[in-house]
Amino acid sequence: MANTAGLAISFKAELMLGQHQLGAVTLVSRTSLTAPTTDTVKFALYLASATTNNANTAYTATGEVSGTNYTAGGVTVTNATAPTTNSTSGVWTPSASIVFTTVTLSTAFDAGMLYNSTQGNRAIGVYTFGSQTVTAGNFTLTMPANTAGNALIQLA
Amino acid sequence: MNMVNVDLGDGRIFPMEEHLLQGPFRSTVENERERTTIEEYRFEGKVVHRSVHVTLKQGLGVEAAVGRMG
Repeated sequence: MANTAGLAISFKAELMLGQHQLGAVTLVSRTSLTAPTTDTVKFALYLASATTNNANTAYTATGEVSGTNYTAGGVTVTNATAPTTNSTSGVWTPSASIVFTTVTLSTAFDAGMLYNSTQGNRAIGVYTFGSQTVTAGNFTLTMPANTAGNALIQLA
Repeated sequence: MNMVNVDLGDGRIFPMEEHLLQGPFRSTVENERERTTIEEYRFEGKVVHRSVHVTLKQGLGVEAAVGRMG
């Protein structure tokens, strides 16, 4: 078994339900018409032996990494850029790298889940990369360009 | 003097003087989806520091479509 990349199936419908507010607030919020808030988005890491995929509807601790200085649930993603359009696509990419600082993760991991911790930990997508371990170091994920064909989330 | 965070294998992280370590050993792997740079230091032949930097080249997408009316 393995982790598989993909936008969460549930996320596709939740977009139309207005259940995610990514990036800088440009629209009135579900929670307040006068003081809108941006959802908190997080990123958790998963062992290479896990089976995380786009069928996950929410963050799960099953198969999540553990180790020194790693907190279950992962880290908060900098969510300062509003979704926008590029060419004919809708795109969104976090405005900063995702960094796990000074961690030891001895068991190989190769995936991460992006999820909305404000909205019941609803899953957004699972991303895979080459299998890694980290020893007393940083694990940094630098984001792709926020353009059609590259952005972290794209609606073509 | 430069200090490097190390883990000797017991899960405890502490700084160690760089000159006591072997390294840094750097390597880069690149494919169409990502570029990964790894930096390692070793102590007595064992990896005691390993940092990984993955640059993603592409995210995830779905194709939105309209249905048919009539």
